[in-house]
Amino acid sequence: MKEAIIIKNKIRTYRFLKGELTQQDLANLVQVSRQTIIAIENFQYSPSLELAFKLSIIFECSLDELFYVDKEIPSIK
Amino acid sequence: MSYQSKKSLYSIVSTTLMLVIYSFIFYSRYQNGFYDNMSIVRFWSIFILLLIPLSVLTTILSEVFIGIALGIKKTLSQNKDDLVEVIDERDRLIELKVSKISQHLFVFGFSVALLSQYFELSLHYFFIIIIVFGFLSEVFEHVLNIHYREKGIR
Repeated sequence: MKEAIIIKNKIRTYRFLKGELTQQDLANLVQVSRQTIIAIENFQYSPSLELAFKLSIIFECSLDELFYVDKEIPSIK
Repeated sequence: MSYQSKKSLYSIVSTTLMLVIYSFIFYSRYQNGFYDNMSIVRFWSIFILLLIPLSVLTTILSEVFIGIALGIKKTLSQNKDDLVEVIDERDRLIELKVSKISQHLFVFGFSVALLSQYFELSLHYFFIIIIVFGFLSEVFEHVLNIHYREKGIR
């Protein structure tokens, strides 16, 4: 059976590094609801590529610094 | 519970109440012999044709009521940002998934209704099954909406 990959993130850490940026402020910056930020932080929702890029621009980091997967994904040879 | 979840919960209550009250009034009129000289198809056509504008009116009134309640809450609340209704990609994804599932439920109900005709049951069964599944699919849509908002969606 196909196993779902859970995309995790370090948004909580980066919010802290940005001077304890609130979830609401971050939501306003990327134009989503606070509930969406909460869902992303709790790994309940994987954002679209567009939203992921917006977040990485705000936190001034690359996508793979912000998002990661615990499991190794088999590479195509 | 988020604003959208509360809205769904309110919609479940208002839809259920509206259908129960409407069915009760219609059934009372039926018991009093108001529709005695009508064919089954005409009787149920009247029921459904009146139900459609009534459900639209209920939805509009619900929206107005929720809007007023939100306005009052915004005035009283300290954290006003949390009460702003923002429709984003997660909302659209939930809406898409939920409407697809509820549509499947309604199609299943319609198939059951057709099956009742295959087994030569009364036409009443056909219309009752369609109305019940129409109602169930709407309630299920709101329940799933709450579920995905609270438990997450992938």
